[in-house]
Amino acid sequence: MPTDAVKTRTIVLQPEDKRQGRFDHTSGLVYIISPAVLLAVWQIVGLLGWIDLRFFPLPSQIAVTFYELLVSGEWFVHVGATLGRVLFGFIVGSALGIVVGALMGLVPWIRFCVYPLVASIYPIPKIAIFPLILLIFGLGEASKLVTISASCFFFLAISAMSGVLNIPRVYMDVGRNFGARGLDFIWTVAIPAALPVIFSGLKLALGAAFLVVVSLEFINAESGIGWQIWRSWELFSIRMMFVSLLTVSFLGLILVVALDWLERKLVPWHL
Amino acid sequence: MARIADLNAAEHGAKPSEKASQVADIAETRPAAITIENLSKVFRLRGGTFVAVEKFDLTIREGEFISIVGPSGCGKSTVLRILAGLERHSSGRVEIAVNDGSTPQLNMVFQEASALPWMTVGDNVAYGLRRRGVSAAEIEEKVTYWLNATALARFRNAYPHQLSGGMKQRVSIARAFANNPSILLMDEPFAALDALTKILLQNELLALWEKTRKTVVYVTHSLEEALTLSDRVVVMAARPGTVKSVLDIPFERPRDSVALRADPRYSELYSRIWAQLQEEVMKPEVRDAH
Repeated sequence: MPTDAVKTRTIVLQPEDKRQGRFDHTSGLVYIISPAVLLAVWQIVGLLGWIDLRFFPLPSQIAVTFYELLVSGEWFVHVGATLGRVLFGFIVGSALGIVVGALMGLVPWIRFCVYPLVASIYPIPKIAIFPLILLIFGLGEASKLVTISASCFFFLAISAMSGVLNIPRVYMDVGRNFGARGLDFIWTVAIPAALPVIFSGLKLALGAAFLVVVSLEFINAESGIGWQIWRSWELFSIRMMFVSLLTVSFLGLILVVALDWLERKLVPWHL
Repeated sequence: MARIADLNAAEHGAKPSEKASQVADIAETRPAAITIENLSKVFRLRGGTFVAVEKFDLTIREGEFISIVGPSGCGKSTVLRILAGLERHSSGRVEIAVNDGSTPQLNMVFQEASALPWMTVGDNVAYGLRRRGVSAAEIEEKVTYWLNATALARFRNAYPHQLSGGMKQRVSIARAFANNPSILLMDEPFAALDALTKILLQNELLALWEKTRKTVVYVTHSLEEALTLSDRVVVMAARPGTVKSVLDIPFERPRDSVALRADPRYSELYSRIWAQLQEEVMKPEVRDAH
């Protein structure tokens, strides 16, 4: 064995990079930077003539149209209508879903009776049962509110159930051993322990609520952002269409940020 | 308020000579707090049944600190969970008696971190009291007392995830003591802690117990722990779980968990219990399960 073949090898571990960590990734700025960059790039390539302005008007042109809609007050009417429907459906549907989901998670016989129904109705697009809901609840607001609530309900029923079923046994034991029963048990153990999963469900439900509200407003409404999008198409007003689309994404962003904030307040141990 | 005053009186009033004779008192004169006769617990599993506990007999006297030791899976935690009302036994008789006219209250300190993460330390300690509809003033007083007793007062508004493992376990202990249970159940409360924290908390538990003299049923894997804390040690046989033997632990109180180890009787008792456990661990049906 030739011993002179063994060579000393050295690695030197690098200290941390002092330049890193100066930017706070958790600040609210993050939510603004990437959309702002996208709009800037869009404006530049538009001005350079690289995109067809008939389909993709300049952000500055969209801004002008947005300003006009703001001044005339039209924007507020439609945002108000859509936001009202979304919030009502989201809050009512989610609240009912959390209660039913928690009961399914806690009580085996309720789970065996109700879960097959939930699982079989959940995949039906709620927009597909809208005609039926129209027949039952009529042409007014009620039909829309019911449809949006129903969409949110299923997301929360399923996520609250799986959240409750996955609670570590020791927390259930603490509740039972220290005398929590019934609603008190649900309120002080089951719901808080399932909150991280419930919040995932809430974010999915919020997306679904927007999807459904815009679709419903296409079909059957005299106001709302969906109605405005459809009307832009009828009027060939591409700029108004973009104002509406950007409004939807802005509202979605605001509500997701609000949910994130609520999650940090209510689930401080999880983040 | 009266209760806490009583606890302090017990601490200052008792003389060493009284304490030394207390072991004998317990065995003979005190009324039974828990009477377990012919207890069995059968779990139904997919494809059969599993007998966790069978023909288990034990009488625990009021104010007694009793430890249950035994090999893994011998059913000692099952017995404790039955006492805590978290499982129902399959057959036999379990009687819990309290002499002060109150409903028997059995509270558990769990092995895993069991402080509810969505509540502050203070709310965790108040949890049992709130469920029982105790007045706000009394809750405040007891929570403050037990947070002080467990050195957690500064962390009253902190959440459990901000605490160390040992502090989380103190929250569980404070929660159980604050609820003033007739009987305190402890399921390997210090098993998940490092050796230093364990000794520290054992001494704290001894001091708290000296003040309250509650009936304690303590499940553990650790012979040191059983010898340090208990008046009697129950050795369990495994598969199915039953009482193999019961040993009196004669050390005077108050005890110090470190000083105790120098006592010649300590190593003698340790060897006796270990010999019995070894028999159990070497049983083929137990050994193969490891």
